Amino acid sequence: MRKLLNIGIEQLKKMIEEMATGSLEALESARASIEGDFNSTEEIASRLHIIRAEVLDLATELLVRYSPVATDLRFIQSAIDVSYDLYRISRYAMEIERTARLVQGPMELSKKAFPIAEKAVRISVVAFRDLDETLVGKLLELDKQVDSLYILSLKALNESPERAGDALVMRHLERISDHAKEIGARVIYIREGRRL
Amino acid sequence: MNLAIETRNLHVYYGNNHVIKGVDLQIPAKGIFALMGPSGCGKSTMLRTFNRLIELNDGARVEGEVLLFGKNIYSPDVDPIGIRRQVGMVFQYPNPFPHLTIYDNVALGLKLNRLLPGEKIRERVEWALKKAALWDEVKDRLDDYPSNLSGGQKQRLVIARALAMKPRVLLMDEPTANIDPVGTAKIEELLFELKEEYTIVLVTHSPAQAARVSDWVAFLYLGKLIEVGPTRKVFENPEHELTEKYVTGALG
Repeated sequence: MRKLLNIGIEQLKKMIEEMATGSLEALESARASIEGDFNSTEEIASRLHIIRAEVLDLATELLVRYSPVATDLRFIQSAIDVSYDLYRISRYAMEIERTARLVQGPMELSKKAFPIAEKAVRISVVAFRDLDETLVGKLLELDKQVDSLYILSLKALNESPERAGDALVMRHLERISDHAKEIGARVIYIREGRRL
Repeated sequence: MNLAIETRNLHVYYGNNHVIKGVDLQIPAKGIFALMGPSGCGKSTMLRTFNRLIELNDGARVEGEVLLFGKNIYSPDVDPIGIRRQVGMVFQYPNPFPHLTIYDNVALGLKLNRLLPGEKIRERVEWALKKAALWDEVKDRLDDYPSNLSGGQKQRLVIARALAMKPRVLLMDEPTANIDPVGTAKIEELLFELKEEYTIVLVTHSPAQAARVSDWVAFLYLGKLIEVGPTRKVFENPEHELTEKYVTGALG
């Protein structure tokens, strides 16, 4: 029984890994869009939507078949949540690309925040893959940095409404960084059983 | 917390074999407390110390204290028969008396111990069979013999027999180990009903059953208490590595 459950958990890990790669591709594509280079982020988000459904199917099957407990249970619960986080990251990336297409104007703060948000996602993916809780502190720090830039983008709207595009993109980057932080919280939950 | 049973530095020996090794355990009143662990870990032995049934085993020696609602049951002034009236027991194999009718199986303890006047016995038998969720299935054949009952029904009959004595605690030693899944589900539902009024101590080798039915769970391994706590906590986030291995099936 144990071996069959292990096979399922390994499969879940592979699917999350694939989603992680996809969400990073989506972010890269979104970053290019604010430089004027438009790709097909939407396709990536659609692909992640399909994988997320597969993660839910497999996780449900593992819960029903094997009644997992302890670390196994916490990992499966977390895989469901992380698949949602990664899917949402790809959706926000898609929204950034759409915003960049439709809204003109300077994107200074977004350009500054993008590498930080990307770094946060990359670190969260590694933290989850290696179940490395030492990286979670870094995620909290990066999330704060993105959040500060988001606040600045909102304040800037009072003086120059033409910076609305920047604020809209920042809003998505703030969400992306928040999902990366949530992935970190799941690492703590798997390792220590503590919910942050 | 109102404790039904408490053990203090409990040791049990069979001859030179040290089976229970200094266990301190607190079992709250009214609820289901599961003792789980692999075969041979001492859980059934431990259960038998809670009603002094262990003394029927020649060569068994108990050290330490077992408190039943605050009173040490191993004090010299305590009558083990009186303890067993307060602490009912159900075993792995359903063991109704085959030569007695369904009715007499439940009434026997009351008659032998002269606990009730004759006219009250019928009422108590009906009450116990209803409590054990068996009444509807046997009310028209109380004079039949238990050999016609299914394994699950036999086990509920035995539970009714124990309940008829109005115990405060019910000890159950793997009560569903030899029952089919339908019978097992009925007994588990019954336990859920009974825990409102009784303290139930359930020995099980199945972590899945402990997770399904108990409110608290203790994990015993090689005669030692490894971990104890609320069931959800122990199954979601066990503190001890051995518990983690046992509940996930990775032990041994």
